[in-house]
Parts: sequence; C-alpha cells; structure tokens
Amino acid sequence: MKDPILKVNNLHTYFNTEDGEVRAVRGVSFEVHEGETLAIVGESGSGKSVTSLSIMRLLDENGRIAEGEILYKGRDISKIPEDDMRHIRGKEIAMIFQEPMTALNPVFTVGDQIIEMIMLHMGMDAKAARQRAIELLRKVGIPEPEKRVDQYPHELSGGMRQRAMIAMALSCNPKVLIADEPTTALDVTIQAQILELMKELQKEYGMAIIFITHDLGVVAEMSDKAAVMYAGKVVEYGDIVSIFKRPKNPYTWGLMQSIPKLNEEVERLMSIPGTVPNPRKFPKGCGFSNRCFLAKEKCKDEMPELIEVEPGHYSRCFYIDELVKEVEKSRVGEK
Amino acid sequence: MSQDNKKVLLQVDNLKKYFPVRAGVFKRVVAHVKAVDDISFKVYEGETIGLVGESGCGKSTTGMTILRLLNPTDGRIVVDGLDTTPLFLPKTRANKYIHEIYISRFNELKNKYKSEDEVIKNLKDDVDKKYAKIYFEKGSHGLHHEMLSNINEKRKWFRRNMQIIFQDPYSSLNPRLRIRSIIAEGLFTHGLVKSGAEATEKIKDLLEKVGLSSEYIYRFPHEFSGGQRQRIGIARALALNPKLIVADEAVSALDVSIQSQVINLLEDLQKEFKLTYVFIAHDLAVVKHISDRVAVMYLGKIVELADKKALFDNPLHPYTVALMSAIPIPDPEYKKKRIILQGDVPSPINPPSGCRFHTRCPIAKDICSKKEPPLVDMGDGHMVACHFAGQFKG
Repeated sequence: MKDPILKVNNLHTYFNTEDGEVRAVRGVSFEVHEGETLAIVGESGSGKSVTSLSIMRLLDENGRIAEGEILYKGRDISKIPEDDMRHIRGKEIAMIFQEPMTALNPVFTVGDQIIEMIMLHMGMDAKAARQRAIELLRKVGIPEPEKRVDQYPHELSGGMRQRAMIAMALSCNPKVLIADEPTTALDVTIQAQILELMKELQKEYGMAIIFITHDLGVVAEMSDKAAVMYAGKVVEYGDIVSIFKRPKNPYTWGLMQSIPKLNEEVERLMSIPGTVPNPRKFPKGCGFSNRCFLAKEKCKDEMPELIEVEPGHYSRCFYIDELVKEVEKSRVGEK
Repeated sequence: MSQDNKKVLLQVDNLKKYFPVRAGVFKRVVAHVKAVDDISFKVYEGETIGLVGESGCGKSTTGMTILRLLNPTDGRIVVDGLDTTPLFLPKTRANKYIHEIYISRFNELKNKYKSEDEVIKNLKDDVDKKYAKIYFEKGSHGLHHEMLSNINEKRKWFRRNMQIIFQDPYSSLNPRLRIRSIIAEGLFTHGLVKSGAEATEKIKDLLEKVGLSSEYIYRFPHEFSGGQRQRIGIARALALNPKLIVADEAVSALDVSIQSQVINLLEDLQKEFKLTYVFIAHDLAVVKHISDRVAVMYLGKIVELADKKALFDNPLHPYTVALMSAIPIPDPEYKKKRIILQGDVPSPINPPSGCRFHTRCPIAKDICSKKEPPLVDMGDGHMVACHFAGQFKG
C-alpha cells in the first residue's frame, strides 16, 4: 500500500490558560491516504477541532503542539517555521469551516478572496486568476459565477457561502482537505447538496478529506474510516463498516444507541448518563470511566492502550470482550 | 379517526404573521416578510405535535405567535375553548377583531338563515357556536364583556398554561440570577406559593424531577453544562404546571449523548404531568421519535400534516419525500436513492406564485405556478397541500 499522504503521530496539544495547562489533545494518531475520507467524530470538548487546527498550525497564541509529529508526505510539519508552513497551508492542506460567514472576510468580494489565494500560491496574474476563480465557482455549482465573483459574502445564502468556501479551499488543488463541521449550520436539503458536491470533487481531484463532525449519519454517508474521539484521545479507530457493525468501544456503542434513527423505531432511547467532560479536568484513568456502564475500579486509575482488535480496527478499552457480548445481546433482542 | 373524541387543547385557525420590511429615510414599509401565511391546525390534549421544516419556514414564528410572544397579523388562537386572540391586542384592535370575526359574521348568517337557532346549528366550529350563543343571548356588549372582562386574570391564566423551552440554554437563563430566583419568579407572579420557604421546597422538588440535585438551587447558570441548563429551562417551564409547552429546538444545541437524556426526560414528564407538546425542530429523526403527529412546513405554509406513522411510511408531498431522503442514515451499508433538491429556499418576502414549492419541485407542472393547492384531507387525517399528492415517490 502507498504511503499515507498525511500521518498524525501521537499528537499532544496543550493550552496555557489562567487555570493552568489545559490538555485538549492527549495523544492522537491517524493516517489518511489520497482519495480517502477519514471522519473524526466527537462531541464538544473531545479535541476534534483542536486536532484539525494543530494540523493547519492555526492554534491560538496560548496553544502549542507539545508532543508528537504531523507528517505530510513524510515531512514533519509540526515544527517547521511559519514561513514554510505558509506554503503548505492553503496550497497543500486546505480547510473549510463550519460557519462560512465568519470564515470569509466580509469587506472583500468572494472573488477577491479566491483570487488572492490563486495569485499567491500558483503565481498566476490577476486576469488568469479571475478566470480560474469563475471556473471554480461554476465547478462548485454556483449559478451565474461571472456575477457572483464580484459579490460580497453577505449577498450569498448560507449554502452558497459554503460552496464559495469550498471553491476557495480547492483553488490550489490541495492534497488534503480538512472540513470542520462543514454542513452543521446548513439545512438538510442544502446539506445533501454540499455532501454530494464534496464527493464529486473528491472523485475528480483525488484529494484526501478529513471530515470533522458529530453527526453519525454524515459519518456513515461520507467516510471510509473513522476516528472516534473522547476526552482528547482516540477511543476507536478503523474502517467505517467495521465500526458501525461491530463497535468495540462502549462510548461509540453508546453514541450509536442514543441517537434516534429514521429507519428504526424504538420505544425509548438509550442514553449515556452524565455530561461531556471538561478539558480542564478530564478523569484520571480512562476519560469515559465516569459515564461508562462497563467501568470498574481499574478504569478510574489506568488509561487503557489503543489495541488492534480486528485487522485495522483499534479500540481503547479494558473490557472489549464484555462489550462485544452486550452488543450481540442487544442485536439479538432487536430481531 | 379516533381523534374525534379527544379534547382539542389548542386550535389555530388561518394564522398569519407578517413582519414589515422598512427602508428609506422615513422607514416606510416597503414589503412584508410573510413568515407564517395562513396555517391552521389542532393540537389534542396530551399529544406531541412536531413542527418541522428548514430555516425560514416559519416554524419558530408559529411557536412564538401561539404563545403570544408575537401578536398575529391575522387569524385565531383558541386555547381550551377560549378565544385568546384579543387578550393581548391593543383595545381598539381587540374590539375590531371581535367585530370582524364574530359579530358581523353572525349578523350575516342571521340574515341568511333568518333564525338564530339555525345559525348556531349550521356553524361547524364548537368555538363559533359557543360565542354565537353568547352573542344572540346577550348582544354585542355581552360578547365583548365575555371576551375582555377580567382581562388581567385571563392573561395570567394564559401565561401560566402556555410555557416555552428555548433552544439556546446559554442565553435563555439570566446569568445574574440564582437558579432559585429564576424558577421562583413565575411561582410568585402567579401566586402559586405563599411563602419563600414553600417556593424553595417546590423548586427543590422540581430540580429532582428534571434530574438535577436539589443542592444546586443556589447556584448560578454559569456553573452548569449545556444539558444541565436545558434541564433548568425545563424545570422553569414546569413550575407553573402548564397544559402546553412549546419546545423550540429544545435539544438542537446539545451534544449527541446529552440529547437523548433530554428527550427521555421530556417524554417522562409528559406522562407524569399529562403535558401537551408542540415540538419544533429541524431534525426529522428526533421529531419522528418524540411526536404523535407531525406538520411539515415550507415557506410559511403547512404542506403536510399527518400521524407520525402515516407521514414517515407514506409521505404524500414531494417536499416531505425530498426532506426525508436528504437525511443521512447512520448505517454505512444502508443504501438509498437520494433526491437532491436544486437551489435554495426562496425568500419569504416574495414567495413564488401558486404552490410555493414549485420552483424546486421535481414534479411541478403548469398548474402549480398558477394555483395554490389547499391543504386537504386524503383520509384518516392525512392532510396534504399538493395538486399531485402521492405521485412523487423519489
């Protein structure tokens, strides 16, 4: 198999705050290949967004990558100088954000913002860059791109803005596209349009996509692999069918049980007790130990390792066997 | 349908809510945003009705107008057999409303049927019947008296029985008040407790009911997580023992694992206190789980309204079909054909002519842009507004 285009190895990202050091990401590893989609799934405070910002080196001033490496085409970009990073950010690794209104600059036209990127990274002159910007806007399905290119972000609807963001991200043919909750703020019919568009563009350009989301439906629909994050760590990692069909971590399982599904009818939803942990005070042992139905004394004190349960399917739990029994029991009950 | 013997708690007739758009130096009204444009539905006691639709379809405005946090532009809102529309209108508008909706109509009907009894017999609506009787017995003055006397008590009755749970648990709790003060406010206003000690007892009970420790009573909102705050919001709504609660995107802002806790809590409380919910949400899967009946809205109109099962098993409106197919299913092996609607939702300032969905509808024909389809019953209370209902299956 070819080398992964992006490989994250044991990433730790810490923030200095008034209350001391906050360890938002505590050892995250994954890899993506060209043309592949990896979903990072997690709830608020799980560290999924911080992971993506670490890869882009867009952390706030008080944040730092404390440990680990981020290998892009084999080269560690976690410590390279900002000037070098600038050639990679946007050109090689691009990102789209949840709320396009805050990610686009309101005082420049959509065209200006795309043209700036193209001129900077691709060395085109203004005229050719404008032509390319119009082409890109057409490609992402914006009607009348010749007119839209001179409009300001506020003149576009939410779905159109997200399309413009995608056009901007794709303007330099990036090898990796990080999408941080790109459809969460959109209506479902518009979400369907954007997801479809991203799939088409991936087929055409062959880029790797890292899709950050909390929506398990979107995960199942879009990705090949998933990394489930909880309390700053990856708790389950593997290919998508294997995770959904044979979950090996109580958190993933609980999450899947607690969402209402359109294609199933349940009398009562199963729910995970307790609340999402605050990154300022993660539990000492396993991050999920205070909410887990399988947790025993050991879980409170020790952090389980991420182990390979099936080929390519990893989980971080001491009691995987017991979970598997539970899952089987409930599957039988369903039938 | 068995709904005939159920009691109607809330009846909304031809409700409209327009917001003026002002422009220019003199702030002249240049257009209206037709947020809710002529919708009617009934809510039965003890049921949960789901209102779904995309942003801008008017579902939240409907909720706000039912609760009279907004005054309707037109239409009638009946709660428990009592027409509550004039209660919150300015005096002249209230009088005009009573005159238009009841007095002049009853007079016309009387001219037509020649007899007061005949008029009453021919009125279909129970509420109309009730007010017609009063009008014919006591005259115009009597009807005004019936509807507008003791107006403050009537308003209080309305406020006590109609409560809301907001979407954002962060902005809906006053950060400067302790939990006790937040919940006690309503109890004192409505005189439901006699002393501070009694209020404290009641609030402690309520906190336990919604799954929080009663020790939290003197904390401030910032000490709680989103899910806990939403529970406080629910406790506040419950404190007055309401009949109806409007839950406006009550679980949308919560984390996935917290969402199911709150949904289960709402269901438990409904059983315990015999509550009626109007559940407004954009997440169809959540609505499907919690509702008994579901209304789908598009651009200020109800396009389909049916029992949950009928709606999800056999959607008749093309918009409903497309909306359902757009939702990603959390199962990587589940394959389905997806209908991708073209374009965006049109502006409610200038909605499309005829059927408002015709600009995006996959089966639109000539008639759709000319004639607006009425909401008609296709059997068993399955209401749909489409010229070609049931012809589009995806």
